Amino acid sequence: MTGPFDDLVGRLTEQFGVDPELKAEIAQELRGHLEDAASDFAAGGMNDEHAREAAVKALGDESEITKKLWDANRRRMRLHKAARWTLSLSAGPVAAVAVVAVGWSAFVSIVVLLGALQMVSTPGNSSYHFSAANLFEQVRQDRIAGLAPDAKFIFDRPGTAHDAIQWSKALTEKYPTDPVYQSNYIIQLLGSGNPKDKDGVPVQQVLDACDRGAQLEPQNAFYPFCASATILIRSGKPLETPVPPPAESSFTYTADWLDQKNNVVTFSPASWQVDDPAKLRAGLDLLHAAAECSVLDSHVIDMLERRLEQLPPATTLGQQVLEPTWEIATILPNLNPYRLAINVGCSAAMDDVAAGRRDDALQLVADMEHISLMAAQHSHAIVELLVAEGMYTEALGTSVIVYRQLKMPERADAAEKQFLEGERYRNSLRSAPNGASRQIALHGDVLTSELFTFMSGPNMPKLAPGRNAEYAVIDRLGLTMLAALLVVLGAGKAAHLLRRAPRRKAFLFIGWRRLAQATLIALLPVAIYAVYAAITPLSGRDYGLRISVDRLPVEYAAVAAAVILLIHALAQRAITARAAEIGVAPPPRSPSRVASNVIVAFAVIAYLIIWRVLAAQMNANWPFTNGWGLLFVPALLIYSLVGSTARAVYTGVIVALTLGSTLLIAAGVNTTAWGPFCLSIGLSVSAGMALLAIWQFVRGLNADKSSDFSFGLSAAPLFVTTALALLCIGGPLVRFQEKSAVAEMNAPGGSYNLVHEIEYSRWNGEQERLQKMLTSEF
Amino acid sequence: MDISPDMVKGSVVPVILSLVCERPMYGYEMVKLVDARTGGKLQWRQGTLYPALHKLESDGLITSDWRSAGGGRSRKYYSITRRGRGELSRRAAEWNVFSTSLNRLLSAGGKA
Repeated sequence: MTGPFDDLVGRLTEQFGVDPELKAEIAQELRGHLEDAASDFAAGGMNDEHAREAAVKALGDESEITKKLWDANRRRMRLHKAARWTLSLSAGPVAAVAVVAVGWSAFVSIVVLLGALQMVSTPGNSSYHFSAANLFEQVRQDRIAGLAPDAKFIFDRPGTAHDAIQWSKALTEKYPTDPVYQSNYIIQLLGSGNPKDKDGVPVQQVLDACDRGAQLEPQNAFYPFCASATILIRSGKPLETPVPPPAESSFTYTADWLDQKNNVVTFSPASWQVDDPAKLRAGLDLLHAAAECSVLDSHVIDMLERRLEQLPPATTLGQQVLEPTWEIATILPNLNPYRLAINVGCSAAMDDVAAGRRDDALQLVADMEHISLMAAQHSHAIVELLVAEGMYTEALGTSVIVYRQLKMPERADAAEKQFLEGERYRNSLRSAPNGASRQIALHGDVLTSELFTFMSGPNMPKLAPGRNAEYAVIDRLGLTMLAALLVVLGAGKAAHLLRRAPRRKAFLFIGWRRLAQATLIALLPVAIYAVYAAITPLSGRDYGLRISVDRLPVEYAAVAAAVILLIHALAQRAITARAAEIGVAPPPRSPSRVASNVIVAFAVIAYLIIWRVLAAQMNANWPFTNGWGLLFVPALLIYSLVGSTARAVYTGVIVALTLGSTLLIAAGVNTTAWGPFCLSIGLSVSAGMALLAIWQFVRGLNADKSSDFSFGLSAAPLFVTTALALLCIGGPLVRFQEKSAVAEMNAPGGSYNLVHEIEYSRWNGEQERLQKMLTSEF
Repeated sequence: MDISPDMVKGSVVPVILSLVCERPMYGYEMVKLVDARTGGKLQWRQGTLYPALHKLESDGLITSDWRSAGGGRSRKYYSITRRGRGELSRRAAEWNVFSTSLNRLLSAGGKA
């Protein structure tokens, strides 16, 4: 913009070069004054030139005005210089800290979710330790930091087997008459190595500990049974090829729960190769001693409750998903020896029959049935009951063969009837329409759907709390990723400041009021998404994270794209208005993108509707959790960032993705295995996107010559304030959601209680069934 | 009779505050209004008005906003703040005391 007073105004304002906006503002004010004055002089009869000269003269002495303007604005100029100096020193470190903090938060969210998956699928796996163990150790340390020394001593089972043995032994020494700690010591000993490994478990220590336990509780079969298992396991090894039962004694059953094409199974007892008959005999004597007892109580739940009750309630999903690891370490170690002991016993019973030791065989199968039913009667954890059920099934099936071999058809038929009754019960649970198995698989949180699908029954546990907690964590992840993206975009735009150029474009501040308004408006897509996710059925949040894992990235990317586009539009509007106020040329406007925005929005909504419709028809293989949704992420983000030509291309890409997914699903193509392919494509395109963004940015530095002000630089604060507002408003909200959901998870009936409480009717029913047998038989 | 530059200089702040207390105004409008109301007796050096306005704004006595003036132009309007109103009252009271005292002195001198 040039005018008749530009030279004078330029000289008067030259001193404000360090603050281009102030310079432009004062220039505009003085120029307007001179134009008004000249206009009035001209209206009084002067010609234009004389009018302008009169206006300049009326303005006063140039040097005096220059000095007074400087004096009047000295404070702002000093502040501006100080701010600029501070920014130049601190921007780098602050940005680095912000990126690290946001990155760490995102990492924690990812690890918590992955941890939930890995904990149930690969406990002890090296990759689990690599990715999650260190972080979870920190969570564990934080949670136990406030415990009193005694409480910490009881709770804090060390991670390594050797240390766990020392810890459990120390507990028995501190509380020598407490059977709970004695049982725990035996369980930790049993868990200290592979029971099949002869050197893995310290045998004499187990036997000594079992002796002490038997002195404390003479009627508890747990101690002689553990001693028996320890010895029996060392009497030989399992046969790789089991010996099939004689054809005339064998029987078949239908096992729908096996989930295979041929569910008709011929029962075959476990086969064991005896290397040390003396040990076998000693072990079977102890087994018989166990069967003479009246109860079998491992006290694992007592021990678990003693450990967990030391802790304050979990408030985060990270804390919550740690609890199953503690539960597993407390509950599981004795169960594999239980199972192996019954296997050895079944094989020994068959050997007794073959060797003509009729009474020994009959006694042995009776002992094993009794022990199994006692284990079921006193099981307080589902997994204990499951193992007891398996032991009983194995013993009962062996009894059928033994009775038939010994020509006792009535007892054989009765045992077979009981066996088949158990199978029918399990099959009925499996084949129940809309049974809990399918419901848990579709609607459960990751841990529940991984851990409890195969243990499901006809009634549902509360699945929403665990699911909501996971959605809160992944929402936090999405929120922090969006905030990080906005900070990076803002920093990228502010990087213009680093450019050393003779005519570096200036920053135009849009004003605090406009900045606040624009920030609030920029949050609208996130607020709308929150409402959509919370109350609309389209959101699919009634499905678990494993099912919606393809859908969430699309939603998050769409919200991020909407926020970015909105910030651009709002910044453009505010900068244009501000530029008009102070009479400077605004940065050039971007061409309208309403049409492409509408097309993209329709494509995304169509994908989400297709997902929702098909989720209702989902089968067990979940054919569309294939990583397809990940392809939308780079496409949507690139779309929100690029110029008009590339935008048309990416509009086409997004539409093609929606059409492609529709066609694949309509054609019934199973794309379950496509995850890695889609992920690698998504990551490759994301890398391309980053390069494109850098190229566009570098190109944009020199592209706009029509204004002294940089659009990107002037829009940068809006990106940063939106990121901060997201974290300040959204962060506490998702944290509140997570905390509430975790509290519900721990309430009675919450899904996580399934790990150690039998209040799930399927298990109540099963325990009652087994107890009834125990009562009727013995 | 022209008013001395020192007296004009001393009056700038209270005059500005008094004007923007009536309604929001832009700089040239103030110059015109002062000229009209004083019949041209109070001749401001117009260029010094803006440093005064900026100083008052920096001190929080007035505030400004840009408004469209039509024809693609915009003008910076100044409005008085609450603090500015207090300062105007203080200055008006000070001026009353000063002028009354001065009048008395000058009257006494005239009679002598």
